[in-house]
Amino acid sequence: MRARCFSCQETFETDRFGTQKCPSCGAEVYLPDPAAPPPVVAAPPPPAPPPGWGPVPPGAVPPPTEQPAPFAERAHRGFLASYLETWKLAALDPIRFFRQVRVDDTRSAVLFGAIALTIGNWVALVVSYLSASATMSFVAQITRRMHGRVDTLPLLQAMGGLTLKSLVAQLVATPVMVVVGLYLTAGLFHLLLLVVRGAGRGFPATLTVVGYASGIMLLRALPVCGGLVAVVWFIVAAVHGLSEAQRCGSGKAAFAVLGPVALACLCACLAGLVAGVAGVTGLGGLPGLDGGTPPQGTGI
Amino acid sequence: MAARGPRTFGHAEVYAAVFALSFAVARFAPWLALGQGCPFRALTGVPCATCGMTRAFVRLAHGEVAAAFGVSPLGALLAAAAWLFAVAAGIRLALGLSWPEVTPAAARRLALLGGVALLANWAFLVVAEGP
Repeated sequence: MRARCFSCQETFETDRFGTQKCPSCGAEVYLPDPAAPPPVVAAPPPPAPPPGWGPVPPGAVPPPTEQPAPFAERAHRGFLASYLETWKLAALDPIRFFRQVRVDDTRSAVLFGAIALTIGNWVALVVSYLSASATMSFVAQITRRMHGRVDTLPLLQAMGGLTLKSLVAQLVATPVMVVVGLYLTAGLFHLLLLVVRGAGRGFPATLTVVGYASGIMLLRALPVCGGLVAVVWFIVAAVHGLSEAQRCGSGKAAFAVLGPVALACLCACLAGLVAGVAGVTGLGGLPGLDGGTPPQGTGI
Repeated sequence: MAARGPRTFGHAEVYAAVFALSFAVARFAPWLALGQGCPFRALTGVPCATCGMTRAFVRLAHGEVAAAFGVSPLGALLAAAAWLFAVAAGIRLALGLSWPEVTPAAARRLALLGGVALLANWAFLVVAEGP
């Protein structure tokens, strides 16, 4: 066959493919074999994992090593910036966040959750107080229009005393109570994880999840539906978080988080059944509905 | 609970502080005077699994042991255990001792025992105070 050198443009005869020297200028000439399979192009390596908690590009492998939460590095990241970044990760990307977050810095997690819970509770309390004040004003107007025919003074006194006193007391007690609540919630979740052998990484992992997931409770500050949204969102984030942080699977995590709720519902169904059977058979009924005597004690 | 170096303030000490706070509230705050009731019991007439816990804590904090066990045996035991744990944590901190090791298997057995105790206590409450 005839080939042409790309260096000197001279043609020459050859009987093989591959790399060979040009007889005119001595330059190396490569003649590809048309019957040979196409050369294998090595697949490009996946993009390197991004440093820190930045977004993972499509196809990239997330960094396998654990890293501290942005809020744990608030000293050099800035308090507000690190708080917001951690909030976004825990609320919007809980699977990745709790998979990678280090669980040995529980103080940061507790502080993170305590701040969110405190602010959320404070705003909710103030909103409740303002709502009660508006209700009192409304009731007072009705009283005036009824020319005193309805005695609403005890109601007004009760609402005024309760709201004012309880507002101040709860505002003061909230920071302590939220820390207590965080530890009790984590303790309850961890006990249930122990029952199903799902607490392989110990209590710090559970407390870390509860602390960072409680950041969602900041939504309690939203009036009307904020509390409900916050609770549902927290449950979802806590299930994902425990599943990833404890490496226990979502089933065990859901048992730990939803177990108390499911148990309460089961108890309610059983108790309702017992009460219904008792009412039908004449042994008693619901207190207050059948004129019977309410049970002794307050029940708390 | 892993044994740790002496005079460290970890999770166990936080729980000890919470338990000590529960004693202070039960002993000095007029908790029962608030008149809060159990919504579950108000709805169904049947006590819930944790009914009587608050009263048991308050009664025991006032030294009324029999009354505490009467309203909720598990509540009384829980209160006693929690406050003993708080005292033990204080002693440990003062003397620089270490916590005993609790293996995961032992912790799991304790958690299961707690669940069984809760159910047994609920059965007691239903029989003693139910409809």
